This record gives sequence, C-alpha cells and structure tokens, in this order.
Amino acid sequence: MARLYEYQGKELLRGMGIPVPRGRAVRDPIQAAKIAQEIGLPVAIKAQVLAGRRGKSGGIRFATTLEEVRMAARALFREPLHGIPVEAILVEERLEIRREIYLAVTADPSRRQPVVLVSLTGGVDIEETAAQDPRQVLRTPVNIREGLLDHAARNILRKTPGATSADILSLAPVLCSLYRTYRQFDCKLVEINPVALTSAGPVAADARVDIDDDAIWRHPELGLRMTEETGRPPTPLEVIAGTIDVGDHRGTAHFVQLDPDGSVARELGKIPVAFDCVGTGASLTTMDELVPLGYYPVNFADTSGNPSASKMYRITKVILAQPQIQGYLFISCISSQQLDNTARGIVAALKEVFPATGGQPNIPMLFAFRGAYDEEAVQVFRDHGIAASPWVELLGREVDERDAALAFHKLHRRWRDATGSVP
Amino acid sequence: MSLEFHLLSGGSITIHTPECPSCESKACVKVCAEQSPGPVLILGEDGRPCLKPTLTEIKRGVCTECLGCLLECGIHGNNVVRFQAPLEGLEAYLAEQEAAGRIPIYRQDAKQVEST
Repeated sequence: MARLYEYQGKELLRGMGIPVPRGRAVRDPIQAAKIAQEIGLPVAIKAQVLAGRRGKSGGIRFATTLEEVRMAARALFREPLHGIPVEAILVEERLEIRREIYLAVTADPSRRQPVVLVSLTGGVDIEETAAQDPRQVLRTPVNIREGLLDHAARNILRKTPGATSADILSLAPVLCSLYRTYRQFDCKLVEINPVALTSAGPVAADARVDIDDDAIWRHPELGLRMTEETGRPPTPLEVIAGTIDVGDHRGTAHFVQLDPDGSVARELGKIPVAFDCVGTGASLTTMDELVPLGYYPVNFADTSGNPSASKMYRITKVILAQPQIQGYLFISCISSQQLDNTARGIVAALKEVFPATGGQPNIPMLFAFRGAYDEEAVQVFRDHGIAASPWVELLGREVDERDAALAFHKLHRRWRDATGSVP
Repeated sequence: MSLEFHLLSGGSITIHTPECPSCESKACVKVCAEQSPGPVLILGEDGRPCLKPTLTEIKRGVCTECLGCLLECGIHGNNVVRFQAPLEGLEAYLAEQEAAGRIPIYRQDAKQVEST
C-alpha cells in the first residue's frame, strides 16, 4: 500500500524537520490513556484509517480527562470508519490553533513536474474552498532541476492571497521541507491539512503521504508492501500477488480483489467468478458483459506486457486461491503478447492445483486466446489434455467479449446442471 | 546428479538428469531451441541436457521462463523437470482459509479424492 497512515506520515515529516504534535499510535484504550498521561491533557484521539473526512465522520475526538480518553478510544475501536475497521488510533497533544493553512506538493501530469499548492484557508473544507473559489488555492509548478529553495518558497507564499509577512517567514521553511520530503521519498502527494499556526509556530496537525507505487522498492525503510492502489488496506492475497513483479520486470501481474469474501456477489444474487485478462480494456468490457448474465467477477487481474510463463503460473495460483469462486474466465485483447507462453503458465498452475485430474478443473473455465501465438496457446491446452475436460472451453480470435461471456454462461449452466452445484 | 539453475523471477528449474539418456524425445531441448533469444538447454554428448549460457546469464534473464521444458518433459519425456516458484505467504494463507472453513474449490476436490 503506497498511502501512509497519518502517524507514519507525521513520523516522516518529523524526520524532515517539520514540527508535528507530540503523540503516538496505539492499539488499545489502555495504551491510549497511558500515552495521554505521558504527553499531558488535553489530547486529540484520531482513528488511523486510510480515508478522508475523519473529523466530520466522528473519527477524531478530544479528551480532557483520562476517562474520556479511554471512552473515546473504545468508541473509535468499536465502530468501523467509512466501512474500514480501526486497528490503530493516534493519541497526540491537542493544539491551540490560531489559523489553519493548507500546504501540499503533488505531481501535475499535464505539466510533468511537481506543483506546490498553498491556501491560507486550510482545514476540513479545503476541497469546497478550491471548488468554489479556485483563487484561494495557489498552484505553483516547481522546476525539478532547481528544486524549491527558501527564496522561491517565500515568493510563492508572497503571492498567496492574504499572506502576511509573519506567515511567509514561518511557512517558507515548512514548504521547503515538504518539497524535500516529496522528492526524497518519491511521493505522489505530500499534504499537510491543516498546518496549524500556534503560538510556538507552524505545526503539522495532519499528514497525508502517498508514495509512488513504482518506487516502493527504493524505500525499504518505510516497510511498505508492493500492492495495487485500492484506497483500502490490501488483502492477504493482494499482498502475495504484489510479490510477483518484484524481481521480474518482464510483463506485469496486477491483481485486485473486488469482493474478497464474496459478500457483494451474494448480496446482488450473482455467481462469484475469478477473472484474468490481457489488457484492461478487454477486461472491463468482459466484466460488463458478465454481470447482466448473473456473474460477479470477484477480482480484477491484468497480466499483460508479455509476462513470462512463470509469472502467469504464479498469478493463476493466486487467482484460484479465492475460496468462493464458481468459475474462471481468461480473455486476452488482440495483443502482441506471446500467448503460448501465457498458456504454458496457466497449464502448469492447473496441473499443480488439480493433480488428480492432470490439470482438468472441477469448475467451469473459459479461455479466450486472441492475439500472437493464439493457436499455439490453444494447442498447449490440447497437448496436455486439459482441453478435453467437459468444463473447459477454449476460444480464439474469432470471438468478441460478448461472445466469450455468453460462452461462459452456457458452460456454467451445463456444469451446474451436471454437477448439481447450487450457486 | 541434477541440473539446477536459478531464474530471474526468483524460482528455479531442476532436471534430474540421470533419467535423461533413456529419453527418446529430448523434448526439453527441442522446445527450448524455439525460444528467443536462443536456447538455454542444449543436448550434451552424454544425451543429457546441459546449459548453453552461464548460470549468471540465466539468473539475469536469459531464460525466458516459458516453462516449456517442464511441460514437454512431463508429457513427452521422463517427467524429470521440476519448477520451484516461491509465492511467499500463499501456503500460509490457504492454511488459514482452510482452518476457517473457506477452502478453495480445487482443494475441496483434492480432499474428496484423497478420502475415496
């Protein structure tokens, strides 16, 4: 996961010289009270989940006594926030805030360079402020070869509507450190909202740090795991899938669970199926065709860029490890990917997970090979006897996504009728 | 004696070569010859496969990891090629799922087969 929790982001900022409130992340109410006693009351108690608008959703509380700390901590651990269980809370000193400022550094894809964002009206409503009056948020691109030096930071702040001399002098060093954080840790976004202006100077009252997924390997010190960006903590299978690309640059194996426990499929009355695709476009189109037919892809997977067969073998094992699946569908876009190698990887995995039948599955599986070496791919399945399975359907480049979905539907009904499997 | 080489992906291929002289197909060598950028396995004078590139070159990615040797030996040869591909955490995950009663469908089948 490339997004850091608030407490991790604050540790990073502290290390870069940006003042943050005294505090610590804890995992139970007793520890929370202990930390509150150490740092002194009053304190803020903040749910550590990767979601915004925590304050407005009851995820941030304040306490003036140790009993209030315990009660607030218990309440935060009890209820999920935005559907995410709270596993840690941050207990930190409550700041006396005079004003709230917004500072951020992010990437601007249209300019292909970093951009600094400053607003003197920071706080929980910054998005609304930016939407209603964009002039309140000053955007300044930074020349990556020059970096952000103190005089440049002061110039940015000087142009910010409403900035006083005191603001400029106190915030310039914070802005420079924020930019250095962005660069040093290969961030996609570093945001402090708000920077609290206190009698002791500016303090980062919150921190959001998103690391570029492709740069995680450069920062083992952060202890991050290579997984897809989903906006929620990764599932165990996503963590396992994230290891596949680590040492092998040849092609990619993206895997995201859309319905990890099958509850969404159940709620919608759909049949949960596993899914793999070469090319995201073909993937989404096929998913769109499957859903009206009564199926729910419980995962998204994209194995493209000509991955090795060994990579296909690994990702197929991960996809098939999803307990709730009642079918599997593979489809490639018309690509230059060497599909005979793709087929070898899948066949090797099938032979391993279905050893008793030499790789013939016990659930319906459809494979649509369309592209380079597609006929050879189908031949690999024939050579190894998997094509002879009554529950395997092999298609070639003559079909489109709808044809493939309909063929899978037909196969699944046949399997269900023959085996008595109840979806 | 076995021939073992480690792959860029972190896996390894092991070939139990004492069985190889009796293999008539030499399927592993044939399928490897079709791969670009050229074969990793070639036929030695003793009728066993041997490596053309060095172990270091293979580890750096000369072997495309097509798994042709594994699969072809399995059906045309003496089935002496083994592929080890670490997937850190998968077995532990499956064990956890199984303990919680959430068994992948292919393992359910295997259990039924075992019990009969």
